[in-house]
Amino acid sequence: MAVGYDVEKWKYLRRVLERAGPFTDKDSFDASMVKEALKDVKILVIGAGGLGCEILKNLALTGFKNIDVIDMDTIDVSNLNRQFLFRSSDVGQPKATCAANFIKSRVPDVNITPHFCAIQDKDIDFYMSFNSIICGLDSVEARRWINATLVNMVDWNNPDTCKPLIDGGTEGFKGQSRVILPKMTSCYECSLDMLTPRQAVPICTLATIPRQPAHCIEWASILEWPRVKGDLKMDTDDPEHITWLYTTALKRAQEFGIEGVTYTLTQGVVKNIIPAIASTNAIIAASCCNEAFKLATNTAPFLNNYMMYTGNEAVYTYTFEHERKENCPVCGEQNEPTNVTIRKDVKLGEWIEELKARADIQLKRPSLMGLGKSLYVQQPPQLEEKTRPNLEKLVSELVGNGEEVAVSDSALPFSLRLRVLYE
Amino acid sequence: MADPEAVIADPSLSGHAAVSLPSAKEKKYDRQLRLWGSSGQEALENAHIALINVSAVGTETLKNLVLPGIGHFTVIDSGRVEEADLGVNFFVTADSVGRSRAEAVSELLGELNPDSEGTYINAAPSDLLESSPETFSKFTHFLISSPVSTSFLFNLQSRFPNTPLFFLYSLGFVSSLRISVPELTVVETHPESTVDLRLLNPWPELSQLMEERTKGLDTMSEKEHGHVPYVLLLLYYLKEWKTQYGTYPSNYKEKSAFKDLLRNGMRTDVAGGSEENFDEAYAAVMNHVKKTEISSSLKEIFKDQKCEQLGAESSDFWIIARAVRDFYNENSELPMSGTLPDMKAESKDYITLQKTYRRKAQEDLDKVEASVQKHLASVGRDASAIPRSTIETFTKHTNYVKLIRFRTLEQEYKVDDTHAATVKRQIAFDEGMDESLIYLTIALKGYQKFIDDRLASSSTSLHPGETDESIEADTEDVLKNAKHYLALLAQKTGETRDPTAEEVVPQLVVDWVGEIVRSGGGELHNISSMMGGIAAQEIIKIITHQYIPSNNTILVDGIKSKTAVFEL
Ligand SMILES: [Zn+2]
Repeated sequence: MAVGYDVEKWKYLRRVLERAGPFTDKDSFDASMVKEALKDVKILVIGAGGLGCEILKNLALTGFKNIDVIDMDTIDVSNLNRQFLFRSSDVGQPKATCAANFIKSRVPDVNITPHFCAIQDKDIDFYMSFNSIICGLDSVEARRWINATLVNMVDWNNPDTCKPLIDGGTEGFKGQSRVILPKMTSCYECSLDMLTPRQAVPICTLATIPRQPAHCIEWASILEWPRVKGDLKMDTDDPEHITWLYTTALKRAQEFGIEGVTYTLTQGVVKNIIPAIASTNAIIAASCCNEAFKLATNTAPFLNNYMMYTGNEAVYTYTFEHERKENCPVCGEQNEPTNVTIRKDVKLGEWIEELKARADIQLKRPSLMGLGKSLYVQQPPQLEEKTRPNLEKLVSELVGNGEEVAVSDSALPFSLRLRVLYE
Repeated sequence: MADPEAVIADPSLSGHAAVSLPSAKEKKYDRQLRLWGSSGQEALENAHIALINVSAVGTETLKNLVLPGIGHFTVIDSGRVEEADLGVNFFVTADSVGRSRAEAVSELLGELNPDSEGTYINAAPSDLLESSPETFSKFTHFLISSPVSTSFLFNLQSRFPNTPLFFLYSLGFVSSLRISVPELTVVETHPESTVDLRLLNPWPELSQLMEERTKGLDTMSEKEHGHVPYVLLLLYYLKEWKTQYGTYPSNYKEKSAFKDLLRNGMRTDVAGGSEENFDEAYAAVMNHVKKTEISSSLKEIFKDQKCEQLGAESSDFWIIARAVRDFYNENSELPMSGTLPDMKAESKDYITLQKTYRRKAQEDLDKVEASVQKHLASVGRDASAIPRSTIETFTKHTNYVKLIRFRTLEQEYKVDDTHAATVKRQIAFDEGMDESLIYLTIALKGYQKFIDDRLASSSTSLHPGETDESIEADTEDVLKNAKHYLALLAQKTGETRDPTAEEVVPQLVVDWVGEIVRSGGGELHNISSMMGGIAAQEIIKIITHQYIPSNNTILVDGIKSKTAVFEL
């Protein structure tokens, strides 16, 4: 249903589309073309959760006409305090479909196409068909995937292959939004070290000297579950499983005189729950959509390129240009390996743990390839079994000084190159 | 958050035999309870906010309050839903065009959460304030969206001076929020950390624990040595340092030398080449080897007249603050928070140390509680009127509690001396950088005056820039108002200038006026939605008395994607 903007409904939007403001770049703004341009923009929203619901509403009320939304999740009761396109009767339904239906019922003059699947299920042609992409995800892995995919798509013979990626994220009263122009500005991977990876508690602390309630919970989930339950896979969404972990952790805590193990904490620790509220999602989603609007219309200059928002103490935003990393493994021009210095007495298994914790690597299940040989490979299981003995060997036995190691993860479309140097 | 959905009885669990599971409500609100807890949630459920004038920014703010479960809201507006509302407000539909705007939005907002009760009054707020001011007394918070007359704002605030008030503008790419609360006290400010280790003034029990656990440090087994909690290591070496130099390390140089002392104590002939507990001690020197200074905000509270003179009308906050001040005057230190960070240690050692800190905190709390009871009795209240848990929340946060007295709208809009000085100072501060959003506040003053003039006249158009034809003349008018305001600022700050000289308007004021007129009073949904999120955060902080709100004006610049806060 194509509707122009020259109707009473869009009276307010038209004012900024038809009138240039004092801050508008007069060279790039063309009042005669802008409505046509906005009408034809095809935009993809990744995630239909807390940010996604807001993003869809905002785009529909910003005059965007062609929106696709992709999400692989279904609705949970704990989503209802912020994901306002869902009602309790929707619990269990696909988020993408429910969200699209709700928006269509409220704002009929917009086309929204839902995709109930993982972003990795879509091919390059799919991503190529959009003008820009807005990401409202809570997963670092999924963001790295889409970022790398979009960067790899860029072909300078065809400037249309550079798809702006607008990314938002929140945690409690804080959040950030940013605009990524693949191969032109800093990408998601360039700034990965701004996220501090979750500090893992050493297994020996969990096993022998717990001090905190979280230690007891991690002991229950990492050590006791596999010991007692064998091959039964833990499902952190199964209340029975959480209850088992909780009571197991509670017993251990009592044994050591540790206070503070609760059901809520147990759930928080094993699911790595990040507090989330409607208002922060609203701020970040609106910031992302405002940038999408400015990019599509040139009605005002767009964000260059990062905004951090903190609401814990007053309101504080920091807007700055995040610099591209020359040796970024995804968008870097000079594809030099990163030098890593290690001790000669470090075992491969220990080194992998160190790498996982590094801010600029953060892989969950890394596989390592040496010069023409597999050092440790997670998939397929036969290869994992074959390379597992290497974990107990010293890195210095497997890799020569100055040799390169490629680190990859099946969930990411790129690998990191490391050059090993010994102390 | 009582009535747990289920309990598990597990005979092998000693003490608390029953294990409580989260209730349905706790499940639904799980992600926010992790931020403000059940006490914050209860405060939210007891609030009744009034939205005065329907706008997108107003309904977006309400959306973000209804979703987390605000108890009640009432929408007051006399207008009808217009076609143009459909393009900017998510809480109207094509079917609602022509219906009461207050009714239509309250219906769709109410649908968001069955826990939140919404209602509406189809009346003009200013008429309602004249005809039945008592209507407003049931509201705990006022959320007002522009356009309203300045006199309405003054009237509302002077009749209900104790009701927190939030006033919103959303005009094209810009938005602002003015907050006014006569007195806001926040105990649970959620600082990054409340750790106070008392390393330079350990109490006897802690010193004794240190002596016991560090006895024969040099001859300890590798395991024992590597597991002495770093707090005890620091106490041990501080004692050694003091024996040698007579005082504790205080400046950077001394602390660096003290770190060397620690480094010399660490064993390096162990696996990995260093001991983790020593590494932790080393890392804690700069931050934790110091005497706790009272924060400036606590000093202000101690000095406050309300702390000095308690009476029957004193709030619990002030009675506890006074008891804490008594404690401080008597002991020359604040009551302990009792928080201990995690550290490399054997379970038993850590728990013993933790208990030592907690016991001291409880002893301090006993003293504060006794003092609270004494003060309660002296003002004629029941000595047990304030629960121990409330006092404990205070003593856990003593150095981080906050008092904010917001300025009234009259103080700002009538340009008192403080306001004039603040704006002048901000302008001077920005000289040459041309970045500050203070210029936007000046443009908004010009806009408000324009609205006041239009409301007072019988003109059919209210906003500057409603039609293309009026842009030029309206811009002139708003600029003239801004100039008038600037002249007033100059006069108040005693600036001497040639009275006949043309008032020079900074270019950024001209630009912001241009941007405001461009919008013709219209909202952009994204900007209203962003401010709706910011306003809801601030309102939640003020309702829950948790976290620290902005004092007192927040500006959003949707062009440069930035915000600023000024105390106007
Ligand atoms: Zn990059």
